Amino acid sequence: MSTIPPTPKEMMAIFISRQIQNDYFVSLGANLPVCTAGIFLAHLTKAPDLRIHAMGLYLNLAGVDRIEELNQVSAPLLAKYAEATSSLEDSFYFLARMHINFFGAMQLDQYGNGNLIGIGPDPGRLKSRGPGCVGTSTIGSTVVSFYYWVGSHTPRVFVKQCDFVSTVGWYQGGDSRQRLGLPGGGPAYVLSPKAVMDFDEATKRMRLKYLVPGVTVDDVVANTGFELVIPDRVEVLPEPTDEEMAVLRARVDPYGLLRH
Amino acid sequence: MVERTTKVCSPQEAAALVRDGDTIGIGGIVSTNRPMAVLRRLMKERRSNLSMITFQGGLDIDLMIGLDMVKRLTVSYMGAEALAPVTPFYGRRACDGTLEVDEVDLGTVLFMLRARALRLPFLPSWGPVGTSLPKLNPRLKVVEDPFGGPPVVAIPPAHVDVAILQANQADRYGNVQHIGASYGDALVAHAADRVIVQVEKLVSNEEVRKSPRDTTIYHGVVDAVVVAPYGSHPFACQNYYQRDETHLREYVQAARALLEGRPEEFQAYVARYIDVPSSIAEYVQAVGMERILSLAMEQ
Repeated sequence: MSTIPPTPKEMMAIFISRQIQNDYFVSLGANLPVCTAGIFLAHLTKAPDLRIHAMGLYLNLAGVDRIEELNQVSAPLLAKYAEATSSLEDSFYFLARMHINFFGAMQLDQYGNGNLIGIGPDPGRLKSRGPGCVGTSTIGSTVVSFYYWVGSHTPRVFVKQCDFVSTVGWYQGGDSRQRLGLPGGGPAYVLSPKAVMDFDEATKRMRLKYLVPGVTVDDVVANTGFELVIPDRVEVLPEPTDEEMAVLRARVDPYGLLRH
Repeated sequence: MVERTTKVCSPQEAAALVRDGDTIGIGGIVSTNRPMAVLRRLMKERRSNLSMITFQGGLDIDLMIGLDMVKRLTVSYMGAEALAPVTPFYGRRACDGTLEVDEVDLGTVLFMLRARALRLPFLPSWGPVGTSLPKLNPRLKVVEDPFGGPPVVAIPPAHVDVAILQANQADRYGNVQHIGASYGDALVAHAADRVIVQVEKLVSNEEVRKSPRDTTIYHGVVDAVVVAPYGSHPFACQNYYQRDETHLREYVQAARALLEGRPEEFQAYVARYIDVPSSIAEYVQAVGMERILSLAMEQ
């Protein structure tokens, strides 16, 4: 095992990898290198049949020595691993059978509703413009599950109420998402540099699940702008294995994007 | 002897198909397959009052915003991934009220174009249900499901005057072949009244006929073919060349400097890459042959 301890980003990529099974169908998201690394790590270590979608490309990289591109999923360096392509329209036919999609967010509320639109309150005079909904509204409505990755864990990101909602999570909690009629399975996990969160089965409120080593419950609570569900026992993220660290650093992330 | 119509034309001739005030549909995705040769011509002419619709845009449309050409934008993403989470001019103008933004997600754009291509009044979607989109975008309406289910959102058609697309190759009649993914390019073409496709190379009709299944856009919807080698630069063209990251960083830096009140870098960028070159060859020279060739991808 490398002497440099795993960074929070690497820990999250490894967490993602551990959720992915060989028979899954997943999709890469724009500007989410941590999630993309998690997918490729699973693919290279244990899921050679993993079905990977990226912007109309259907990829298989099993046996590839090194991944050359984590930074831009819209870049054509990944195109050489495509076994099939489809139009963007046709890629939507796969949504109902996609196990995990990955989204970013500028803000998240306690039910996992996400905002990529901007910081308000006046929509005509935003304080800060976000990148836009990307595909998250329609994709989030239909896919089997989705995860959020946010680059910082602060009360500005984890808010009582999103200024705008681009991605419906568990809506207003309880069975409210189901009553909206959305066919997809909703958000499963929220990943930040401090912790992994999931959602209470009944209330659908966000719940602390795993801490990044060295982070305390109090630290997470103090940096979350709403009341997180804190279970009686909060575990620390399990240690990466030597193989996970070796493959992640040498083959998935050779340029070290996740190392700082 | 009757002869088929040839659609090959120059960037200038293609640009003449665009009128100020038109709605332009752009193909490609984020930093790949962007029709820059034709867009640069429109920039050189400083066209104005344009409405732009694209799936996921980036620094191409950002530059047009910076040149005050864009009135309204329908787009689900305006970033350059790691290079810029939100593109510079968009980030400013979408906030100060000088740019109209149709809030949409990717599915919304797809359905808008599909509704137009099919001449439907709307398509129902789950995508915006429960989001802020119907509140922010008055054209999206929550409607009853006539079959008794929960309400859905009706997505109206998008009228597109001109589609501008970039692909690997075409024949002179306008049969277009993408090598790799074709993104939503064919859909943009089907939704548009006029269609311009710029290609890296012209191939013979015989070549196209060898593999008609590789034709991604049938000539029946194409009006103009512009032959523009390296025409997506500084963005990528699948299987031909990668994005020019150095150039894109220079652009982002110049745009941000302008927004901070230092216009010189941006003015120099526009002069060097937009205003001075009068042909595709001169553009390639402005970028530098060494740089251009370094972007080539393994075939």
